[in-house]
Amino acid sequence: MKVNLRIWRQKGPDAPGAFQDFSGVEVVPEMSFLEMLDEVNRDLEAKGQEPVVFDSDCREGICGSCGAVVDGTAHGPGRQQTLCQLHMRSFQDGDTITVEPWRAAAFPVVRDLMVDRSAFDRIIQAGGYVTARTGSAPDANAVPIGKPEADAAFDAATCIGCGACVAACPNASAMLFVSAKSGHLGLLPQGQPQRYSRAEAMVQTMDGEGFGGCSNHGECEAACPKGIGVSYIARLNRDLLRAASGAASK
Amino acid sequence: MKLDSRAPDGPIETAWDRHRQAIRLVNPANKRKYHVIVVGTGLAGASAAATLAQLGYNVSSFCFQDSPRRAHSIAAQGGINAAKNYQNDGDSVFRLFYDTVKGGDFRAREQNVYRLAQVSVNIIDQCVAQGVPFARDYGGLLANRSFGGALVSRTFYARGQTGQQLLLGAYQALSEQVGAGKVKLHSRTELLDVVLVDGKAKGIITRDLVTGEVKRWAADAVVLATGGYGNVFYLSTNAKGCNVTATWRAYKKGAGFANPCFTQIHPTCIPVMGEHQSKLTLMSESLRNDGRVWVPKQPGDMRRPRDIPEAERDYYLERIYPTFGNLVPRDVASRAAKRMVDEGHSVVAGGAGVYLDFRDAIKRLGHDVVSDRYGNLFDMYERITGDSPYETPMRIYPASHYTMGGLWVDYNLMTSVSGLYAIGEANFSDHGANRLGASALMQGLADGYFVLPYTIGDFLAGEKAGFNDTAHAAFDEAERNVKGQVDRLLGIKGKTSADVFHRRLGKIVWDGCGMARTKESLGKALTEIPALREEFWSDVSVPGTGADLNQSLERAGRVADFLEFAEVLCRDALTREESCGGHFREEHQHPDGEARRDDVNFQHGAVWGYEGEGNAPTRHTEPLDFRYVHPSTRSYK
Amino acid sequence: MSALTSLVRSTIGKKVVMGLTGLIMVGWLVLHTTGNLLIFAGQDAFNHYAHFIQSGFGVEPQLLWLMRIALVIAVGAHIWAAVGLTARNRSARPVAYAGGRKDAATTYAARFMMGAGVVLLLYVAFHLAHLTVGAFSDHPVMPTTFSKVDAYANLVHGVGVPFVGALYILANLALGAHLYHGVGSGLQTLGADGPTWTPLKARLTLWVPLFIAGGNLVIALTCMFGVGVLIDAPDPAWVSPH
Ligand SMILES: Cc1cc2nc3c(=O)[nH]c(=O)nc-3n(C[C@H](O)[C@H](O)[C@H](O)COP(=O)(O)OP(=O)(O)OC[C@H]3O[C@@H](n4cnc5c(N)ncnc54)[C@H](O)[C@@H]3O)c2cc1C
Ligand code: FES
Repeated sequence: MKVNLRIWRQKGPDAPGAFQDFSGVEVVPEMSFLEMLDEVNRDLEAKGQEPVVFDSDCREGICGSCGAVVDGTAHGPGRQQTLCQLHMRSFQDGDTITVEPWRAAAFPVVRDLMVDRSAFDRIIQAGGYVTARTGSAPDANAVPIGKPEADAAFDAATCIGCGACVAACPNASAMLFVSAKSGHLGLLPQGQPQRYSRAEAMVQTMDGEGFGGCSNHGECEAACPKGIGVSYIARLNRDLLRAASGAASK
Repeated sequence: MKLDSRAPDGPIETAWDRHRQAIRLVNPANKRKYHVIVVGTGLAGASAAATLAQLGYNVSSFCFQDSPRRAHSIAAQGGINAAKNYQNDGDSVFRLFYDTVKGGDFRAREQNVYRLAQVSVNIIDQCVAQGVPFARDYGGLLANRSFGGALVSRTFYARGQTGQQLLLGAYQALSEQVGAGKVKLHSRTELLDVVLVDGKAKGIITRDLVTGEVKRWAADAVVLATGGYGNVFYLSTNAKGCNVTATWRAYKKGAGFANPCFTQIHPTCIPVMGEHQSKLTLMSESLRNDGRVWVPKQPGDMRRPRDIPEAERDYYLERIYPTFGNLVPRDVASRAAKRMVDEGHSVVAGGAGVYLDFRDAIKRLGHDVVSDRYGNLFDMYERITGDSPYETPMRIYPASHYTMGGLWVDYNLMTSVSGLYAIGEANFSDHGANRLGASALMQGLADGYFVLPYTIGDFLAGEKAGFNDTAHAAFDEAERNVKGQVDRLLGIKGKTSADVFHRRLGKIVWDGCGMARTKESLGKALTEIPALREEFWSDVSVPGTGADLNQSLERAGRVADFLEFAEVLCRDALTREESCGGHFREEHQHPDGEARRDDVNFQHGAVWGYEGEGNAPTRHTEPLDFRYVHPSTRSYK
Repeated sequence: MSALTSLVRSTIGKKVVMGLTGLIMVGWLVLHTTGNLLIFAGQDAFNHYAHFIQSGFGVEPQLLWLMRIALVIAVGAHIWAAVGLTARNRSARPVAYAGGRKDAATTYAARFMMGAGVVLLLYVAFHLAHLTVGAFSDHPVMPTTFSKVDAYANLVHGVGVPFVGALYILANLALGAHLYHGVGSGLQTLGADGPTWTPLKARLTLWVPLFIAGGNLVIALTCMFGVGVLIDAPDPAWVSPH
């Protein structure tokens, strides 16, 4: 089968960008979307032209490197998957497919489909951890954790930091990302001592990075390849309110 | 090459304690005067960088991905071993040690393995304290599963995403230190050379993958945690970016490369579907806990699996290895699959594959329990293949997965270059000729959290702190070499993408030095590789410039190193005239097809030393001595 | 920085302001709508209710002013936060998706919050002028003389004018939409989530706008088309103050 591609090309964060058209690209349904881009790139390279730049590494939906908006949807059509898990069998012969990068002020375009997501790292650096000096830990079974809490913490912990939540949000908000980390650690006994300071520090950094505010559209949840839900956002809000009202320190 | 293992003599139970007593320490107040470079942010690198910073050292951390959290360790699925004996099934440090040495087919250093088993218990404690959400039972205590090559349940897991959760723990610990200013993070930065000053590793040369800038970094010691070289096969379960560049360039600077031919083929991967394929996806080994492997008894039987009656199925692992059944070690399971396929029992039309069937598990445990254990793996499989493992058996086949070989290191994890350390999959240390499932995560974290941060002090204590002379002639030369290679690649202006060369190399190495190797196949590979290398250097197309983001250049640089490394890999396989672990020489097998080890001639680590451009490398050996686990023919029957 | 100042400065702080002020207004609207529905209980009941309000809930006339001030502050703060957040959200995505961005979960109501807000602001201004101040006495908008005492007649005649009625209908549709997203969103911002709150939130999201906007729509439609039902026995007592 053949598809036509419109791929966003942009030299750098401040350079103007434009779509480049590739028509009649030969594909097979078993190919992954990124393998299709590999083919495009091999052809470009063979012609001495610069390939389309995009991030990818694990190609199995866990590292969070890949991502692009395909036909208006972050990570392309289909729920709970990353771009590398999208296969060409999701398209029809003759389709024209539009591919563009995550667009957010906090994620400047590096080149073509590659964006700079280091803002996420800085949010974690601000507080997305449990302080536990190596070697100081008590026995792992010293504190039992009920399965429900462990499971809820796990659901939040599955975040791969791909940025699709930001890309899909009409406001380019990072609340799902922040709330997932705050939910993961805040639900576990080990995360309690820093629960409120962590939430505050991460939100402060998030705001400083230029993400938008959450206005509860739910687009993030729909785009999240791991299906992380917006209820973690409510939880984060609650933690912040509790911290602000002083209830947290009582 | 001097290969002094520095492994302590005397009772193995106290070796690590005695060693820690004996080595030099850096005064806590002086630690902040030392600067350590850690390349790699996988489990090994992130845990080491975080712990070194906690101890007070200044650390610079590098990775080629855009974030340290994306290191390849993130993809590990199944679990991590630890001798906690929480299941009260008779596990102990000694048993984990024993299983690992035996699983490695008696090609690892006993003292290192014992230490690994000892610190394994601390790893679990550490990770839980960081908030790693390991699986728990309803009482709230940690759950375990069993993995290949063990008769106890000692594998801790976090659904099918153990590597992700462990790496996030280490990444968060690292991030805390970045926030505190103790670690300087350099993402999207690739190491292209190691700099030796007076024979000691004192810095690195990197290329900024966004700006193209080639830069010098000086430090008091350098740690490589750059992972394995499984992508030499092109198709492997490794992430696309995994490469041999860092360790290969260290090798060219004098670090010995040990046992490159010890590569692991994982028995349960999704079979190859076509030419376009860019990587293979692993289906966690944990699936073999409940899945049953079989092929149709009748060669060429292409009926739908459900239509093949019980009596016409061959559960060959259970048949040949009644004791371990579906849980035999990886090398054994992989070769058994290959044998079945070679005999015509493949279940993939025109390709290679066997069934991994969950019908009985679903019957026994119910759909919900199976989905709780393996749901995300089943989804992953369905997403790729379009088939649901709840309804039809998975089709699997072995694929390149892990590399036991790596830079030779002593008991302190220092390579044969003074001040240059290698940890995690990048070194050769603990797994011998075959790694047991769930032991790589254990080793990476053992090295990074509990071994290197102490042993590196022994070296640093003897060094004047604060080396920062990037104007030294050694930096000039290393930078010149790096820039020279970049210019050379850009200057070829050929017609073929580096990726195409990589794929061709992968096929040569898989055919010649894959699951089964022969003198002929290796000889053939050894003539094809140099020819391909020559073609590469005259026909590779690298558009764009060096002073800019250039993914073609990144790929071409990595393929260039693989093209050199592959030759040493095959050479090692050719010289090792025995079969052991992941290295199976068809000439050396028992009549029943099992591997035949040669302990008289090959009970050693083979360490390759670089002898300069165009010269054959030299082979050195580190003899191995087994005092606690006596070499026997591995039997899982 | 204290937890409170840090919250106030954050985007979430602004959202909390929106949520709290929004809920205050929702509370007022529930009361107001309940009162409005007294129109179906007849002129007497309705006018007594109007007087009850004007007298400061039968306690103290100043109370009414207190409430008005509180409402003005709520509206002001709501707008202030909305404008701030919207500006921020715009600048968070300076370049739109050239190929468009497909909505997967959000609703028209959520996408139209700002628009509906502006419509509501204009509507409130008109509504106050129309039925509270009586700015349009003997004007086609208010075909009869605006009465200071007969709120019932004001309403029935005022909203009975077709294009005025249509305006009220449109405004209440906008209000319904605004509340449909606003109620759930406000509760979410205030952290309402969990086994009790999640289902309750879902119910409130539906029932609050249905009651408020639906109630007012029924009233407007009745004024427009069912006047006969309402004014079948006009009570002369309300024609002049007593
Ligand atoms: C699919 C899969 C599943 C697995 N499952 C398990 C399991 O269940 N249990 C288990 O024990 N093991 C498992 N393994 C093996 C295990 O994941 C790896 O061996 C281990 O994670 C390696 O960790 P590492 O820290 O040594 O290196 P990696 O995680 O590979 O990290 C390498 C780091 O080095 C950096 N790097 C590399 N080259 C350069 C360079 N030139 N310049 C700069 N930076 C560089 C990278 O950016 C990265 O940060 C699995 C492996 C695979 C492929
Ligand atoms: S490449 Fe890792 S998630 Fe897609």
